Amino acid sequence: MTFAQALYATEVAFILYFIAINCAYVLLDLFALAAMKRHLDQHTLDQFPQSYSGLEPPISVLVPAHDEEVTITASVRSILQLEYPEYEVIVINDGSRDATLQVLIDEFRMVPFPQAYRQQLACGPIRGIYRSTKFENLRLIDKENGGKSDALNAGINAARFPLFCAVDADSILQRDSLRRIVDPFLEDPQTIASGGTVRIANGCRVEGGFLTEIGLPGKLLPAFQIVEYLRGFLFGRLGWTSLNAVMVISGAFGVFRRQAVIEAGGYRNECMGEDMELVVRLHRLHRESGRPYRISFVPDPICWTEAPESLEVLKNQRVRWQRGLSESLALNRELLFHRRGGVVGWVAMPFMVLFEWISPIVEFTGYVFMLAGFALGLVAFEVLALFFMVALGFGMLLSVSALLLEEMSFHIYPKPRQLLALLAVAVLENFGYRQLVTFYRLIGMWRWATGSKSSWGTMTRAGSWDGRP
Amino acid sequence: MASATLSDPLLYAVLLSTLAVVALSVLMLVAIVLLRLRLVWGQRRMRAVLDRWRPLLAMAAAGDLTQSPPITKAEGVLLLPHWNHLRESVRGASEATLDAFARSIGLDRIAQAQMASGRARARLLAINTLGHIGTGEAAAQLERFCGEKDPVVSLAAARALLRGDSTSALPRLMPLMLERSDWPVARLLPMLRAADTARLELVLAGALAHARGTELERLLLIAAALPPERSARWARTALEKSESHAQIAAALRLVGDPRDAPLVRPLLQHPAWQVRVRAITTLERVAGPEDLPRLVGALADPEWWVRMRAARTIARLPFFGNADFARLRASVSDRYARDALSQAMAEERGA
Repeated sequence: MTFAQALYATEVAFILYFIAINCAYVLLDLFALAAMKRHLDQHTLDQFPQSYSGLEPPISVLVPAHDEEVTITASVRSILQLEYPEYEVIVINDGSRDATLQVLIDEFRMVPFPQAYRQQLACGPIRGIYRSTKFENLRLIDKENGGKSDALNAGINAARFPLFCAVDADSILQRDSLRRIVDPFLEDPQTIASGGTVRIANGCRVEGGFLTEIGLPGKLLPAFQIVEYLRGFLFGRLGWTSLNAVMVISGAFGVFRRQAVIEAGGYRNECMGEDMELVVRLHRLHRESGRPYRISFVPDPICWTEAPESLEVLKNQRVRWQRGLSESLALNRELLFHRRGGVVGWVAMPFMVLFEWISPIVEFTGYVFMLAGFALGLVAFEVLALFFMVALGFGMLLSVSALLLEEMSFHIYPKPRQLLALLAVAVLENFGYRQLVTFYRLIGMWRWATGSKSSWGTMTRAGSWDGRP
Repeated sequence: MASATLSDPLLYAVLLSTLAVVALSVLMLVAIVLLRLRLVWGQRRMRAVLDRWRPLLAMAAAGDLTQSPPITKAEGVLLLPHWNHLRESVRGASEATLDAFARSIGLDRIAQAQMASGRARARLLAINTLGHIGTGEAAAQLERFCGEKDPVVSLAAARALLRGDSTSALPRLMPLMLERSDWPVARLLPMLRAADTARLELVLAGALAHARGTELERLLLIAAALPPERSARWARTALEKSESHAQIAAALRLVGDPRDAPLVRPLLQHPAWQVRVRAITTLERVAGPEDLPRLVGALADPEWWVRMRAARTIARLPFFGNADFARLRASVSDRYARDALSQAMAEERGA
């Protein structure tokens, strides 16, 4: 092969990869569209008053907390106000260095509780278990610091109900979120996990732990993430639901069948993306053993979280996510093209590898190759222009199609000027933001590949939406 | 060292497809704006309809409306969800007055027309409406819908039929309820609780004679729709018929009569721990002082959940005082049993 032929092949390969990745996502959007329509149709009558059947499985809500002294009281209070027939709240203080433990003890009048603790999953030493004298369904586990996975495993050990719900301490839940997310368990007894949609709370108004007004953030960075969440989180996951191939349930809000998770070995402590790894492992173990199961996703906007407002925090988050993705795929690589892998092993996992996992490498190399090639006179201007047209044009299509689906379904941003702002953001995010995120993900890949030590980093909460100090 | 150029057919095709994608994106942008305009316009129309009809609906619910004004079909379609919402929120005499009002303005005819709609949402709303105000013709149509493959439509039709006339619908629907595993029992229970209790008991008792396997299991779960004093009457038959663990566990839920305690006691030794747990839970309702040794024995069960449930049941026994409980805890040598008793005592007796 001559140099000219190699150059031509490389140029075409990069362009075709960009087309392929975007076409794959457009296809996923179409699946999501069908799933969304089905979901909305099926829940038409849910707008009318509903009564409980008495068969709703009780839920243990697990709230891992580490250095959350400022926000933990409001979070727990809002969780205690959820509408659901029977649930318990277990806060796990994961060796906080601040006053999280004391704040909880004082606020909820916690007293030591002689729990018959049963260690089914390995976790760090428990220092004490408390029970609220104000709310009988509230308990607190105080343990040595071991990370989020370790805290969740301790919570699962202490949980007494067949389902558990993992919630981030800073998540804002809708009052009926438990009722909605448990629906898949009632509809199909083979359901082992169900994930909820996570939306961006920046710019919204929160009172008493609940969202009272939906708004858009004033800053561009969180606004970009709104469109990104719509594209990747809501419609990306919804698209896989109908194929029973949802690979991620956000750690911010997800319900699992406790026994299934215990049998799978619980959360892996060494993983940064413990939420995704657990879901991929559940798929793998059930597929390998041929056990029927279902992992579902509920598209209703039921959980809200704060998005990073600074580049530093965004970088930490994306590096962590990419590392988590790499770990999840690598630790469960046996599922890839496994003879019993089904849609997950033969479609979803290859999709993740090709278009999520290695995409930062290919995309970043593509940008560098084209720009450097052009600067060196190796790549013609028209090819460079075509490359950027493909990258930006298809990217825009995806962003706009996500907004279209949102407008066809929930249209949760009610004001026309909010919609116009989102339309502008959907176009703008393709000019710099997506490339920046690709770069951060590449760093995540690098850190995973080199095994460099990485921590959770600090998520600096702006908290502008809830009036907290 | 020539780079590719747009004279290359492949790249030219890429260019054309990219231009098409950009054009498609622009079209989508326009579609989003149009959808929003349609939404805003729809909301305005809805507000206008509600401004006019909401006071009338309130008067109708209170029984104060003597004459109903005419309604256009377009208004009626918009009013349907609101009428349904109000209808399902009220109880007592308002139910009948709202039904009469809906018939007087022709909502039943509008719903009937919507049934033919290809749009699932319109059809479901129509089905729900006709469950309240449908005629015989609508009932026949609803019955056909019950046989549809789509579980949402068929279940909505079953619910509507039960609302209309549960006495005649129950015997026809019960076989479907037992057979269709895509009708979640959790959805059936609220529907059945609203039905005539005596009729439901009769139909369930009849079905119990023939039900086998998963149908029997579903029937035993559905029986929870009956008030406990009624379901307890045939718990004995249910327990005697039950074979699988799931059936026995479901049948145990029905037991509420202390006279059935002898049927429950042997199940404390059942090989499946799920049955043992359920048997202990049942004893909580029907146990007498003579059951205490059995419950204490269950504290040494190899299964953790059984021990915990036994401890909790002992803590809830009304005839077992705090001092007795403390003595029992002190006398138990097994560490796990002692832990279970300590937790139960703290939870149930605050000690």
